Amino acid sequence: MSQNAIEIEHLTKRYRRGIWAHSTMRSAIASSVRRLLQSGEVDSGWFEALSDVTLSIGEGESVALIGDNGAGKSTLLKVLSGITPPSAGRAVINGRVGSLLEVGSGFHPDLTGRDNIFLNGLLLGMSRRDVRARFDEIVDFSGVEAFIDTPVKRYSSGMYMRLAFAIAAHLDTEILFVDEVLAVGDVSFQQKCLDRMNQFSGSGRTIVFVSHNLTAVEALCGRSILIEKGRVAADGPTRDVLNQYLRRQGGEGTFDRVTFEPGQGPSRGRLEILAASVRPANGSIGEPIDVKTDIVFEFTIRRKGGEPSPVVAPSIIVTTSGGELLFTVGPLEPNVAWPAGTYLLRCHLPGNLLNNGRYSVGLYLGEDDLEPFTIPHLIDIDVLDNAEDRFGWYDEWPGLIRPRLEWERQRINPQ
Amino acid sequence: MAKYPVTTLIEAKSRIADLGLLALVRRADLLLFFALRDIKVRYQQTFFGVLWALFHPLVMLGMFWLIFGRIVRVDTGGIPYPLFGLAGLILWNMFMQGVTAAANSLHNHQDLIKKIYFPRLILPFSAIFTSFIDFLIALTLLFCLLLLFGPALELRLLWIIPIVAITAMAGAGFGAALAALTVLFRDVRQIIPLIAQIGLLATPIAYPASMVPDALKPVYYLNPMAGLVAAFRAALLGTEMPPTSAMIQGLAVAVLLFVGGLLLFRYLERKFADIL
Repeated sequence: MSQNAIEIEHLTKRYRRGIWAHSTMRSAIASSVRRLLQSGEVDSGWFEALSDVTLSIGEGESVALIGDNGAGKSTLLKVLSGITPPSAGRAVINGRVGSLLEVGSGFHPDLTGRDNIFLNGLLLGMSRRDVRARFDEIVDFSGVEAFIDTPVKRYSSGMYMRLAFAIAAHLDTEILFVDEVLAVGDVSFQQKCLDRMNQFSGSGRTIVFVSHNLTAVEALCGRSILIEKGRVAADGPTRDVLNQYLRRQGGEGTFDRVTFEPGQGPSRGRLEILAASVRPANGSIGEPIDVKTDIVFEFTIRRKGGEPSPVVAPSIIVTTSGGELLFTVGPLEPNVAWPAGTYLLRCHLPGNLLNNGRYSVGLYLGEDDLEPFTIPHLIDIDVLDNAEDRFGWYDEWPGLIRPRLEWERQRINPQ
Repeated sequence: MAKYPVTTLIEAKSRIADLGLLALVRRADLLLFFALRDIKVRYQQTFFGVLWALFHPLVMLGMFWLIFGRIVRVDTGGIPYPLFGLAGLILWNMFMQGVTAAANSLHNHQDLIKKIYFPRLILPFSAIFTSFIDFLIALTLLFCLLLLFGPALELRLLWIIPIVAITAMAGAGFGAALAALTVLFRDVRQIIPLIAQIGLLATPIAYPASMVPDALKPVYYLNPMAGLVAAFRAALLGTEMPPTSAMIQGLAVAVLLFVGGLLLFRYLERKFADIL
């Protein structure tokens, strides 16, 4: 029978707001006197970092904890690692735990790389014999061999981080807690770390992984748990949870649709915009859009007034979050005259064109020979990343756009 | 790494099942490494290196010699004053330096405590161990002087082993308690130098315990170091042993400090990461 690696029941962690404890005896005495006189708890300044969290993680699972900063992910790992006790509830952990909550926190600047490998290994729970047995592997993995007898205070921050991760990567525990390690190092080292974690989970061990790098989360973990305000807000396959998370995140300040009452919309001359929206081509508004998704823009425009019908020249304006105009595009056919009425304009934007990030979408309406009417910002698109096709690069994909293009390779000379 | 309990229960209630010594034994590697690291780091990039471990006690000894050997002229029972003073001083230094370092150990390692779980007791204990290493260096010097100027070596010398062990025990308990209290109240850090100054005079280091008036002795020996220093000197130099009642009293206080200090530490331990 396979048992769960981690079983969490009603785990709650409260912190007192403000200064947690009395830092001087005087304030401790003063507050206990106050409490006696006023009878009853006057300290109501509690903050729940974790509220009634119940979940279980099976043996061999790789689970990501995602959520905003301060949602409680790191607190959960701290409680599970034994660094801080819960205020209520309990957790049972089956197996030895290794945790890497901050890369390099156990390093002593005056000690050499060699000594620090031992110190850190011992701190993380290895025995001296374990460290000695893995020493060469660790040095090799870190790539700082030439400086192994130099005090780490003379290391570059990259070397420092690589050495620290290398030690943790060679822990031999059944369960590994990892908090934000991919902020570390260059691409090839990132890839090495992810490979290592993949290998780790491939060997049947359990990983709980906290990261803001959602692409890495997607690549590494089949299951994700969304923590919001100290509670489990979603738990399930990574894809679904990420979608839910990103949709919620977008809920504030993102407008994937806008509608106006007739007469209230942006208008000039005889044209009025009544609605604008963006959605995945095979989905509805509000569903996530990533770099591979085919997108559909829809605009509802009313042509008011009488004859003669003006010739209308619509164009979509797409601007990056940095304010750079990315492109404008109108219909393929020549512009035609619009008799009075309400029109729905639809434009298809293929996937594999936009990069991930936020774009603003506006509209440009030419009307006969009037000055064009421009609304630079009607709606936003949040284009998410997609872990496929990245071939090991988990960092930001540079560029304003992100097309997928055909390449050919020919060996034209064997030399 | 197969030495750890395979199932861990994490609960809101604290259960103090033991003094936490078993965990220390399991992680002895780490404890030792901390202690050696402190020695290494302390004398790294210094010109005189480990000789500094001798410098402080020797300067203090010089002062004592001037004041108590030359000016006040205490009765050392025929022992050359430098030997007499040094014998008292090195044991006291081991105790007080250990206690001071232990008391500051949590505060000095707050980043570690907030990020990595390991038995917290390792920190004060490794501080005591570091002071023990310093003590061994000083003891080597004392033995050299003993061979040159002191009375003949006798089997009673072996008594220093239990005496040093009890001193370390008292220091560990006291240091752990102060360390835990320092986390809660920074005020404690201000009190420690005061304890060191008072203790230096309230312990028979510069003068023999026999000079203490009999009426004061019951109170005097409440300081466990009073009996321990007197006994240490007696074992090394053949001076008068403190009375047995004083020894028992001192031992009882030492055990009390150890058990009480560790219990207090265990009780407050869980809060460290949140408060520091």
